[in-house]
Amino acid sequence: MKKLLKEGPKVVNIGVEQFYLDVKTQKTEAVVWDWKPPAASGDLLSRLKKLKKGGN
Amino acid sequence: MASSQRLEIIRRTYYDSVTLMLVAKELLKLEGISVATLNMGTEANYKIMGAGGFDLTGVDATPNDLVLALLSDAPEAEKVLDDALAKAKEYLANPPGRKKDSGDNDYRPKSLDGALSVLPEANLAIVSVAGRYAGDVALQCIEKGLNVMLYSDNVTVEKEIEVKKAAAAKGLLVMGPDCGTIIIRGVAMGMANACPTGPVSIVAAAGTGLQEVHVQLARRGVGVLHGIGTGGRDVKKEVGGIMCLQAVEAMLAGDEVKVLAVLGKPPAPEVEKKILDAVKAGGKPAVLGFIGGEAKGDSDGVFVCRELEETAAVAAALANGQDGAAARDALYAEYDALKQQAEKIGKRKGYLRGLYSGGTLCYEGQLVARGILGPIWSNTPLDASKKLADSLKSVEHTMVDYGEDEFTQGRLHPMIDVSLRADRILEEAKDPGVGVILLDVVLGYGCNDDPATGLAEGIRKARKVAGERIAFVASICGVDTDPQNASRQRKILEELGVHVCESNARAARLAAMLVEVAQ
Amino acid sequence: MQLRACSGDVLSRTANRKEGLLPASPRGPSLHRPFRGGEFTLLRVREIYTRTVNLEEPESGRRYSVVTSGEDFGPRTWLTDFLPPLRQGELLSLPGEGIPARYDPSLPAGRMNLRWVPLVCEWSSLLEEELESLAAPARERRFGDLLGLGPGSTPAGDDFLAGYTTGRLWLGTPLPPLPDTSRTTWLSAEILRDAADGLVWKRSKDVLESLSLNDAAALLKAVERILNWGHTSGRAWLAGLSAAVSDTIERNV
Repeated sequence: MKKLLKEGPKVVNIGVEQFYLDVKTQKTEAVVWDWKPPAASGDLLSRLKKLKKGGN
Repeated sequence: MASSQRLEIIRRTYYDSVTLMLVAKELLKLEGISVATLNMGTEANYKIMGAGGFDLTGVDATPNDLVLALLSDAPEAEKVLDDALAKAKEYLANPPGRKKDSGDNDYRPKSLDGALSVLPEANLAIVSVAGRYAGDVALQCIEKGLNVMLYSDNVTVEKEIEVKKAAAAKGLLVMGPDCGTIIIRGVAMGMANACPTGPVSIVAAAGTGLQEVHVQLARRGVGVLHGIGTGGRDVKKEVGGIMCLQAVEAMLAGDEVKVLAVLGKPPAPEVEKKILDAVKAGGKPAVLGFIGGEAKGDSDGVFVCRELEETAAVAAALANGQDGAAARDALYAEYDALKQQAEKIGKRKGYLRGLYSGGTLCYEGQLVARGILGPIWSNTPLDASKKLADSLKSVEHTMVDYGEDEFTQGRLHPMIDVSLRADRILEEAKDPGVGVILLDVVLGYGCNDDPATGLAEGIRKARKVAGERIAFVASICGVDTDPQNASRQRKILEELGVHVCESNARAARLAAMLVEVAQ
Repeated sequence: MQLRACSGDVLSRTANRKEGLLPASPRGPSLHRPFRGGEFTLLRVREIYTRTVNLEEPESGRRYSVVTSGEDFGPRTWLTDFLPPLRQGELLSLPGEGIPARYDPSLPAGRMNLRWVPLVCEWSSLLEEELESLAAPARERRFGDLLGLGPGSTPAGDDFLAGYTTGRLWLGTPLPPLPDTSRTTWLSAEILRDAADGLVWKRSKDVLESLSLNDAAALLKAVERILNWGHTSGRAWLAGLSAAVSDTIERNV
């Protein structure tokens, strides 16, 4: 935390795009992590089944 | 007038709420479409859509499904709805007016490792994904050594504690969940104002509280170096103020910070005491601004305030080497003068209705108004017995916080989407028992780019229904350097006869004073 | 057709070609008028797209292209401002010299900057949307199953294989045996043949070049440009490159 306060923010933005753009506007370095939610129930189920079988 | 509706459920899909709002906005421009909403299928959204005139019988969307809901009053409604639905799908595939505006079309890394290879020096993650995922995303960021601003709300308290413990073990800071605003070395993030950098630093358990003090300091010519938001729950009993105390300690270390302000809704009394002790031990000029907090009386160079503008006024005085107590007295003298302004405007018969986007501002508004009018009903009441049974239905004097979880699950924060409040203004105006409507207009990065115009629509409709029966009072939390320009926003409202005050504390006072109290 | 530039290999490859002028098609005189003072290649119009015309050399079956955007440069390509009306099957003669070479389709020389490994690795996930059918064979490196897999004239499975082949060659690791390309479309087979010869399209080359540098902004731009290549081509190509990088890392560990 001390480093953050001393050096100022360098940002990874996850979610609302506007926050990234606003940080860039203030001449602050930033990168987007284009996060997507983990695959929903159906796929999860099939993966769990695979896990149970001992696969990966 | 009969409306035709169209509901379309898109299963297991995810769009960020800004995209959904932009698409809804485009759909409303279509001829014949009277209502267009795109919401995730949460219970809260069902309620809002129900109130908006949709018949949701048989709709089985889950929070992972997108509900596209359209109403049309046009004579050929079915055709209009078909076209609008097709348009909606087109827009969702290619969201209108986003990336093009930003001029930033580069590839966005799809993994945290990928993002960090692009910016290896990164030291802060801003996390604003849906609450049920936010905790895990934050944990991944902490694992990589990033401090975290957790903007998302709807994060469970268990997850919050897990995240904060993981961060503490690595000496990292977690701001939030539900942390709307932070400022680090003058860089404003989340919903935050474009104010100057300077000698004051703020630790706030409140987003709009931080914004209001940031803005009030700027109006007094004083800048802010750091503003650390902790999220409101940090100072409650369960979490015990872990992050608040850690941030206070960081602000007190070194001599870069000249004046420290700590503020928010009131903490648990034992947490408040811990914070007060830590601040006192720091030996720096400091102001404690817990709205309606337990602590009382200035001592050991620490000023204890009960409102936001007061906190800013005292902190500004201290930053300028002046007497904090005198600054406070001067401010309250100005507040007294609002009585004359109220007389001049003319008192109204009927109840006060406050429609807020800022949670802390709503809390402060209630505290101020209760002092003048007595009990205030709310979805976030000062006194639990005054909790509204239905947040969409006002009772007597009421103040509603539209930023509460119930309104933000799967939809945009009211500081970005003003439409819910604009609609509510009209609903309130239809109630003959209402005499005064109080609003906050929060500006800054991350906020709606023209909230006054959005609210003005509601006010204009309300005027048609209620004429001069209702007085409108508002405060603007913003400065002219904000993307929305505070003066321009003010002008839009004043042209509609809204009485715009310099702070929320003043607006709440004026609004309450405008209510004619029966003897 | 005003030709503004060509890729370097047009010159070198036509230099060895048999001597003599072949008659131009009698139709469309302005279009097919022989170029003066250069060698000629007689090519058949095989595929017409908005920004690209693919031509086939009748004897060898090799692909040549005329494109309208410098972004679309590849091996054996000419650049023009606009494409004249052409019909499939008609013969076209294009110059082998006298036009400035503006693009060198050979693999770039630089070595990969290891800083980008995590970014390249995440491209394996580019198969998750719309290309799910490729995911399993790609993960298991079942190259034979990938060949010709997917819709269109360049099935995405082939784009993956092209990215993989190019990646392995660029990284200097020996190529595993690749399937017989006669089982896929002509255009795909040609792309794979070029990839195996160490020839690349400009968008791919830009990605490889920026992977050898230390400039994040340039890399992100290059990646975005290749993602806009075809509907899924760029994505599949990047996923193939990603697989080549991860296999190379595994070999070296």
